[in-house]
Amino acid sequence: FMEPRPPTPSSLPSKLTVNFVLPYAAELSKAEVDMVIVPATTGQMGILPGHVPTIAELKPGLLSVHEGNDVKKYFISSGFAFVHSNSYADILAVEAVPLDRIDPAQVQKGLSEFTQKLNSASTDLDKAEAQIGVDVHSALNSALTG
Amino acid sequence: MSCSNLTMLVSSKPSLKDSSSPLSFRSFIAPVQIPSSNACNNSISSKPSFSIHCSLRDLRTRIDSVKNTQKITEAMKLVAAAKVRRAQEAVVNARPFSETLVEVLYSINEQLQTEDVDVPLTNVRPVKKVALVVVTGDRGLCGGFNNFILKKAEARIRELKTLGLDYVVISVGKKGNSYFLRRPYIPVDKFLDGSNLPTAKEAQAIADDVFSLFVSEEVDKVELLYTKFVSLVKSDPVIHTLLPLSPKGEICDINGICVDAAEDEFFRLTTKEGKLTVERDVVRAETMDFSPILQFEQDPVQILDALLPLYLNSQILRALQESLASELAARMTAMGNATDNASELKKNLSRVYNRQRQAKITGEILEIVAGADALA
Repeated sequence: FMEPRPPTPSSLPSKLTVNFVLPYAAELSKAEVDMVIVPATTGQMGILPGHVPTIAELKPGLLSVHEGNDVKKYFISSGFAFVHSNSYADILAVEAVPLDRIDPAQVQKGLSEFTQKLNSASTDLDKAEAQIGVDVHSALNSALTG
Repeated sequence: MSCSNLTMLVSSKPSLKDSSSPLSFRSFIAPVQIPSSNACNNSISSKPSFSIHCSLRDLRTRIDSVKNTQKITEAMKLVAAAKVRRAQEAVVNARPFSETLVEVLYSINEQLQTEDVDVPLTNVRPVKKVALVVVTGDRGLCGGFNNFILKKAEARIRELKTLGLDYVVISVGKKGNSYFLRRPYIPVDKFLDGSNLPTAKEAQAIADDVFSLFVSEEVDKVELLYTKFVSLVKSDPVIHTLLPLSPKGEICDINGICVDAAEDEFFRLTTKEGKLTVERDVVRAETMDFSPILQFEQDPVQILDALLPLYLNSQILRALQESLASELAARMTAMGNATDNASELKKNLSRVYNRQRQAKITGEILEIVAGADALA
């Protein structure tokens, strides 16, 4: 399954090795990339080779993997980013979708629907659910446009 | 039955359809031979075939139906075989996720060793009520698969009763649902349907239910009953403790053997005399280069709070996937056996049919000859 990581090298490695895993599959496995930008709850976080070991929780948002001039964008629902000391990054997401598979029209529709629900919500539970819907859809929206 | 009518017909004719013995001319000389009421008798002949044969037409129909059944069972076996492979792949694919989760859990716990972690999912309380999540299949024709799990569930319920603990069942899978529906004396919290391809969504439904039951302190322990996939011919119903989670996750090498073994050992030896005694047996610590300068973007307790439900979800998903794989393997074996039995039955029936056919032909020839003789 996952091989153990190599020990910390003495010098800074040039590439970041990324394992991007989902509960049902491994999206990226030991991919050598230049940079990864993850949507942490504290904001967008860029991870470069030699990043200090970090654990961060992720909120719904855009995840981009930069390899040379190539950028792969995914929208993730939530998860965790775990950076190790030898430039290995483990990104766990509950659900991830490549950005080109998201339909902007649906996103707009969903956003307006949930905003409406939020305004008309009566109980706390309904309000919370509607708020979550609004958050996710606006994140989707900004991911698509930004 | 139609058999007896035929015997009447047969008795009028000197030729008897008696394939049990080689053609005996004695029967033709004594025409008034009332055959026993079951001319379709069980032929305990030299061949060890206990087939009841009535007439050629009936035999033919029967052979046809057996042939059809054989085709069906063989097709089911092949379909199950193809699906097993996919199910196994799904299990393998899901492993990196839970592996990584456990690593993160471990690192966090290393950090929080001195602190007092208060996460509701790890609360160890004195056990008064236990929730059993029973995972069965949706369809039948899978041998003893569903039966084993349900027997294990019943045994566990009896155990809990003798320990004086209250229990509630969460049934997943149509077979389990119908079983528990027929037994209203077993309290069931929720019925969920299984699926062909368990995804995180289904696991989440179960996880939500279990989570709310545990956190609201309605139950103090949650156990998961599923069938572990050992190999294509062997599967093992096991009981895993789902909640309370150990805040350390599992410090073990997740390679399908170690963590499962460690988990089993760790989790099975609990609840003695209604009190939770956490006994740890085999725990293999993975050599991880834990960095002392690990930075946390947020409060570690917050991260732990968010991590544990995800871990719960991945555990349940794994149980569902393994259960599915074992069900498919059981179906494969059962249908394979059925196909073999069907072909053997067909062979025996064909043999009997041919013998009868030849006896009939011989009888008719003899009739003609006898008739010709009588005229001459």
